[in-house]
Amino acid sequence: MSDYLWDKTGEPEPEVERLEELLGGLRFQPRTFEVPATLPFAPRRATPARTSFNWSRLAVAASLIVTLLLGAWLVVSKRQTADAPQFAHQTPAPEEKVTPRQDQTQSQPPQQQLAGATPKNDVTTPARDEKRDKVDRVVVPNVSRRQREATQVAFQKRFGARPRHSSVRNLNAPREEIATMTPREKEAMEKFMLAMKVTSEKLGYAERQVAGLSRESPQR
Amino acid sequence: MYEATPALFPVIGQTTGAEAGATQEVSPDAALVAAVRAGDRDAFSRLYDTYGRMVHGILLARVPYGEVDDLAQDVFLTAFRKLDTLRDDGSFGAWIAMIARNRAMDFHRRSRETTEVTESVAQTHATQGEAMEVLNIIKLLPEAYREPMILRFVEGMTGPEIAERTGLAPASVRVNIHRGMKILREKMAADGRSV
Repeated sequence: MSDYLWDKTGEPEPEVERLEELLGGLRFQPRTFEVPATLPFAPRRATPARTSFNWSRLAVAASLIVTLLLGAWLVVSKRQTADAPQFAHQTPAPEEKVTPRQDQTQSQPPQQQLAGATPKNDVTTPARDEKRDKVDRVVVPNVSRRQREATQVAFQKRFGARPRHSSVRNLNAPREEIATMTPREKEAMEKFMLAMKVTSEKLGYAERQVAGLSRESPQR
Repeated sequence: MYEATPALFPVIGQTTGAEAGATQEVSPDAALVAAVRAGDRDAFSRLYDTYGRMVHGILLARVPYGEVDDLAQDVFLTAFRKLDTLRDDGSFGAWIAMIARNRAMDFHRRSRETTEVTESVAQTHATQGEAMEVLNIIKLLPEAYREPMILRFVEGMTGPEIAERTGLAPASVRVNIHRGMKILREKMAADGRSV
């Protein structure tokens, strides 16, 4: 069969041509179409901007998290490696020996609390009361209460709220491991934990800021 | 090949350099629909120029000749109002074809009470003689054949163009045109006419 009926190629068929001529008089006669003056819907230009707005804020938050975590890890690892050789020759300050169970340790001679010593009544030994052990706090040498308070005040000035934990707890480390830690290691651990908490608070602050901005500019 | 649509070429021609490659991936219809959505009313006029014949043919296959022009205007107005509900911009042709078919059905549903008026309108156009008689024979064909036959002979569209504009499969359109032509020959022969 000829292709003329399908796509008007090839040799024209007389009967098809005649039908085209005959019925062509009924063909569509374009009239002026009056497009309404106002669009019945809102133009769609805001969609890409709205998407990029959310992604940019998410990217800022993610980069902040990564930077803070990396910085904290670098500081802690550098201090551990730098302070380790000097530890054997240092004597902890008197305040460094403060623990919640200080009353038991005050009667001990100071020589037993020197670095490397293993006193019989060491507060961190596993022989202590288990219930009280759970609430014990590890106070690390060389981080005085004044220093911690100064840090908290600075934090409060900067972020408008105090840290959730005013002191550092021994979180997950086994108590035996804590007992064998040197004061420098304890210090490093406390600083690390403090850095992690500061980082956490900063992230919470950034998250609140982003949430506040999102509420100020509601999306469609 | 089939007839081109000159009204669409300025849309592509307006792009330059690196934009040209990206624009070619988007169909001209999609570009026009996007332009309308962005507030360009002239773009809808170009869509009207492009799809006017198709909508006219679809309506003509279903409603009396005298009603087609007004209904075609209604169809385009409906499309303009509901353009925001079109999910795929490249499917504008199939979408407005469906609007036209639904509008024709709605016309018959509403015009049952005014049948006499409709018939009188049809009679006034019967003065166009032989063309209207042949058109009425085509309207007796099965619905699947009726629409492509009218788009082919009345609106002068080619088979590939019909398939592209309506979103139907080219093979289906081809089969329906050829079978419709065969039935038309038989009916006209039975009516004592020759094509």
